[in-house]
Amino acid sequence: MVARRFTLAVRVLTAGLVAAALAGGSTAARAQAGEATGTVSGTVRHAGTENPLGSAQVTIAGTRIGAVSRDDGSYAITGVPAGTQRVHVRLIGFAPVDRTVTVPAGGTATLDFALATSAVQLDQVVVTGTAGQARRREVGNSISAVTAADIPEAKTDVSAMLQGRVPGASIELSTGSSGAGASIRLRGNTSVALSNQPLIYIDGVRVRSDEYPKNVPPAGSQLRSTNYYASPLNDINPEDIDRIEVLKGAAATTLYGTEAAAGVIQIFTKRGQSGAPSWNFETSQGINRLRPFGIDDGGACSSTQACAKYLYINPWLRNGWRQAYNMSVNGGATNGPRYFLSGGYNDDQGVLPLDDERKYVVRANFSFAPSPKLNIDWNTGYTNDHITNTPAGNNAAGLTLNAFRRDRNYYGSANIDTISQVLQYQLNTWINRMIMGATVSYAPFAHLTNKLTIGIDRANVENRNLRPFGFPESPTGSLSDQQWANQTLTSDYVGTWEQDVKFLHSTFAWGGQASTIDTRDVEAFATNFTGPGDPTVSTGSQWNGSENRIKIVTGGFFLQEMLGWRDRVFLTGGVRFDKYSAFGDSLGVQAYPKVSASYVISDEPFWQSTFAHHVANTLKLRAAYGQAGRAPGAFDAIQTYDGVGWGGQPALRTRNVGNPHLGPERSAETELGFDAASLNNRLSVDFTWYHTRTSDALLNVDFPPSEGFLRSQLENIGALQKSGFEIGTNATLWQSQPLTWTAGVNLALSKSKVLSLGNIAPFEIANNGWAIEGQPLAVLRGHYITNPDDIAPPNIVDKHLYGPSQPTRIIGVTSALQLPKGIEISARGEYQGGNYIDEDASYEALSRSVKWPTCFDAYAKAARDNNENNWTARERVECDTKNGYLKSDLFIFKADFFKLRDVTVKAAIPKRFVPGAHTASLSLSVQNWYSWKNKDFRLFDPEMAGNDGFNAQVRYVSEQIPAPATVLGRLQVTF
Amino acid sequence: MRTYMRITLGTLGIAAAGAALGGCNFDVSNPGPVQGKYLNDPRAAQAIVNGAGRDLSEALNWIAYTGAAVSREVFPAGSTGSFGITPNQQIGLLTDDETNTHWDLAQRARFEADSGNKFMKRSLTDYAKNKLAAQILLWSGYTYRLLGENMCEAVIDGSAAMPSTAFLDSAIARFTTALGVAQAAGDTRSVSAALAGRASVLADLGRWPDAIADAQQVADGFVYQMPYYVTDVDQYNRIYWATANQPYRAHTVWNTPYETYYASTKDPRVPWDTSTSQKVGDAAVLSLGRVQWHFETKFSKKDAAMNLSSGWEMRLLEAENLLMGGDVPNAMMLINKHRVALKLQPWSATTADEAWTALKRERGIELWLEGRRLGDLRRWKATSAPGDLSPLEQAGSATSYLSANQNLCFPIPLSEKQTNPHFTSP
Repeated sequence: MVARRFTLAVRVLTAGLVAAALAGGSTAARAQAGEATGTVSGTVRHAGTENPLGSAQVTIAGTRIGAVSRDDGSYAITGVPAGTQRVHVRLIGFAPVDRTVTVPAGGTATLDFALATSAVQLDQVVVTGTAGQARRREVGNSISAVTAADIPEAKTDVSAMLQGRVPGASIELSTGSSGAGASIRLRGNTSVALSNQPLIYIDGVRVRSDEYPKNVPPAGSQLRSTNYYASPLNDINPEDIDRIEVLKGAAATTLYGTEAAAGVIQIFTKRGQSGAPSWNFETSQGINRLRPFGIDDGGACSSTQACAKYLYINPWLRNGWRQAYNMSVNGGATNGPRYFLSGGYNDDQGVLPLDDERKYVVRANFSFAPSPKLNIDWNTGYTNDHITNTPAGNNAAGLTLNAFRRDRNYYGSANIDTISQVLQYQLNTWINRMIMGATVSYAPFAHLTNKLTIGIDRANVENRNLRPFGFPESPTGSLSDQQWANQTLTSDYVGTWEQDVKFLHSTFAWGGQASTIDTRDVEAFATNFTGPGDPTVSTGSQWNGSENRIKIVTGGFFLQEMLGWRDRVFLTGGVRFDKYSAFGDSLGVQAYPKVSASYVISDEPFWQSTFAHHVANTLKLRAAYGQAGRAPGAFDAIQTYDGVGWGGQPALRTRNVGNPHLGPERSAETELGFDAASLNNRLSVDFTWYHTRTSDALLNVDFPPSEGFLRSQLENIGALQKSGFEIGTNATLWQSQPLTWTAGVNLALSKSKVLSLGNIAPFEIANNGWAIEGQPLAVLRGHYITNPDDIAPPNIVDKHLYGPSQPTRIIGVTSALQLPKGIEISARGEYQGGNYIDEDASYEALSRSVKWPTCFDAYAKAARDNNENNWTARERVECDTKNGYLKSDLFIFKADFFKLRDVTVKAAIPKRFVPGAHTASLSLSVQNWYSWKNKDFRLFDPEMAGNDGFNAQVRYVSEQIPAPATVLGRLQVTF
Repeated sequence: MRTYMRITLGTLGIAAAGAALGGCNFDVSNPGPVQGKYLNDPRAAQAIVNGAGRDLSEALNWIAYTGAAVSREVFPAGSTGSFGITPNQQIGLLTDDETNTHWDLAQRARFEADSGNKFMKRSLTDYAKNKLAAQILLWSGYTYRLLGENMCEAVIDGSAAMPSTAFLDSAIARFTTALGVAQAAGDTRSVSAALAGRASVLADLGRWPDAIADAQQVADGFVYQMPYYVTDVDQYNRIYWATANQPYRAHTVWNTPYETYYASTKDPRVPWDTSTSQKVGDAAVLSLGRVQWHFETKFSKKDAAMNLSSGWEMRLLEAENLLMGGDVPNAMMLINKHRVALKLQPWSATTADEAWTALKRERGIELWLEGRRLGDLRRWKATSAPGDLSPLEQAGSATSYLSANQNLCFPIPLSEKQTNPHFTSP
């Protein structure tokens, strides 16, 4: 079935891509006809290993003519005006090279390049947060970039591309179920009450960053589900990505305004390069395999024998087959249309028996420059995703919960066949996602540029949740179907005017953005089916429905002036003005200022002539200050009641107290840092210190229940603070024949503090995470055993402050060894720590007197001595509920962990084995196979999350399985 | 110059197009939640009344279920989370960190009935004789009774803590007003409901002559019930659903006084049954491991209604009043009146102690699982009423598994203490 689907998909994709490529190629040929031109061709190689370098941009100076080197390093630029030409070569991670060549009319000039690695590239252009575009030397704030070409492993999803590569970014996985997404925190939590997901843009178009809705019926327990959330970010095919830029705080995101305080991520997809069609085919094949997450008590472990090492779920586990196929073509005319077209199919079978994700992705990016002054980019991406799941999490009808609890589960049986009845549960999710955008760039003359981007992101999700007729816990069956759609419309205009005034270079920018986010959600729920069969909601005998529609409009404009002095000192000032539909009636336009400076001190003559140049051959000092906001929800400002119904009759219930003065919370951030390179650009250091203060912080103020409104009300009353520093280092440890060895370390240390709660009492945010003045945001608070290992009654204190909920230490380590013949060995690891997490699954089990692996020693001692007097204090608390010590907030543990994210070995395949190919390579990646965790964290994985969505300010561990490890082989061929 | 003008106009045009395409109309009105101002419309009265009723039904659901567990009307059989009985509650303890929902739901119901009544007073021109007005006042009275009988202390509209009798005093005021409106409206059923409700509250307060005066106006067969509905889980009868095996088997009649009593009498007021396929509860409890699952069948479906007041309860109030006066024979006649109607063996008693024992047992049977037992136990404890409870429902008894420190009322929970300025912050 899968194979048939794949074959069909490949045929359709290939036909489409070939047609498009032929069209592009013929256009190119027409564009070149009749001109006195020649060709420049050659290869781009690594100066150390002499391995070919792909993705290098080779351009003819002063023109738009250029090409991108293939994976075998070869390039060819046709249509180059005859005569002497300067050729630029740029590739991220390498020092740029300019060379001159004489191009014969109708002939070919050969020009080869050897690029040396370069740690700091101040002339690299960045776009995000800069009002148009800017060179890194001009930017006063920190900006991180991840380039796809630098990623050696088989890419599984966008979130994984960022793990361990962006200082200060915490990519927080959720569960091991197929389709489960990861939340992203940049410099930890920014808000107590609002989303902490960064804004996400793709090619200038704002897209949804918060999670998709969970697949759960609208009525009844909100846990009848797999209990994970899918991430819109994972709809993007990682093979289509060229690079990702990350802004981590308000100092950099001011121009994005009211919703940008938690950071901005912008993804740039690949674009067509002029030249003949270049085809790329990639496939990866491998397995997902769950690593042990229980306690190895030596018990037998097989498909028929449940064992504690896997918390008794191993009989249902499998090695999920993972396969991906991607094909793309890019090319185009020198002065005509260029294209990048791609299509892919991905089948990711999960480790749980019903888990599978099948995804089709198609992308068509076109660029067209009808005149030297005008450029038009058109980007379209479409994803069709179908996810099937096994019921899991804290779901009484789920596999994980019932398997973990064995004979003390809801079936009262550890029998595999009995528990397997839950597999009748059918959970399906279909996601259709279309992101489309057009950018028109118009530069009427040298001083003036205009760029207008119009885009739409539309996501349609269907969640279908069926407990069929005869399902043990719902004998007459139940079915819910949710049709959810989210549409984000973006329009974004930026104009710049550049002017030289004596020794100053001025860039004045102005612009405006508007976004309309429209979410519509209709759910139907039915129970009591007439009998076996394949039901619809209509065939149920009792129906229930719900509808939600929310529209939010935000818009603003900005002004920015950047002054440059001798291309080494830059001063930028700007302000953003915003209006937002969910503000209270009394609130007007909000203004967010920014100012930044950068100073490339290493360009100063005095620096070049002193010893300092030897210490740091490149050094840029930078400082930035900026403000950004975070906006409340659509209904937060209004006093409202809910229509809840009662037995089919109308009924009203209190909902929201309302606050007409409600406004955004405002984060003001100061950044200081430097970008430096030393040892002939072989060592780079990127250092940033930041301090963020959020004023008017929106806090969920709970009113006394005796006043009748049980929902909390957002109030602008808090003040929060976070600070820390981030260091990114990259070093070329060895660069000579026969190998190049590079290594990098990212270190981020952070801390947060609640400065003020505005005279309200400390309150629990969620999952034992509290907001308490003077403490981190959030701080885990709960009962604590002061003498856990003593053979004595427990001494338990209440309201113990454990520590922060977010990691305060994140270390990413990468290393790569490049050998001759295109062999490359790379590794990437990540440590996160300093935080605590509530491991709730153990409490839920132990409070039901489940025989739990953490108590096995205690049970053995009790059986041996026929009493519990030889139990430790912790055992007395956890292992016998009749002692009355057990509390839900006693299972808070240090969450430090290290994971070897990836080890990849890649080798070039000799051309004789792949006739007709420009290049071919084969790689093997092992991802997340090895991990370490704090010894206190005895079960599960500290990187897991509970049943909450991405906006859970405080994560916890529920009855889930961790994300599996992956072994992937990848074949890549270019033609 | 013309070139510059063209460029400038072109630039402005692009900018204007961008702004227009953004459609920056910030005056967005989202459908769904109802703005508070619309409650002043008289056409909203029915929804206001139903809202108060629904919220009382949810509060009653929670309090009656947990109260039943703590007073051993049922025995815990497993679940501690959703629809479950926490380890503390399994041994009879009601702690301020586990009673937020009970308090919150009851307080919301109380507020909604009171504030809804104010809206209706403003909007209904015939308020004084309007059946809807009588209805919301009844919901209000029963909500205050629920709070007064089950909460240890009272807080009203963010006040400081007061004795729980403050709730009962308010209940009497609401029932009294309801009685007047119902009489003016000619709503005889609501009249009886107000009288029965007020009688029970007056008894709680020890105002027995007034209580009996009201009780005697209520016929034996009168029943006033809180309806439940199959529409969604929150509207189900929670006691039923918690042991409906879908998937919860969280409580059992096993090891309660009602287990053997029903087995021997088949009294239809305390029925339970067993399953051939599921013999034990849905998890282990205490140190007992799995316990036998004998599910109650008084509430045998999702929409099983729960009594708020009945004529038979009134007879037992009259009996209790007689016992306090030492009139055992007449008290026993009233205690047994419903039993005789049901053709059950009457209780026999010759001494006051025996009669009190019979009364305590009979009230337990008559009001089983209706959220009244804790209030009765607390009242009898406060007045040192004679008579024995079954060992299976006694605090500190080895067979009841109830702590000697068993709680007979819900404390003011953390949700109130942490938000109400009258309390010390935690």
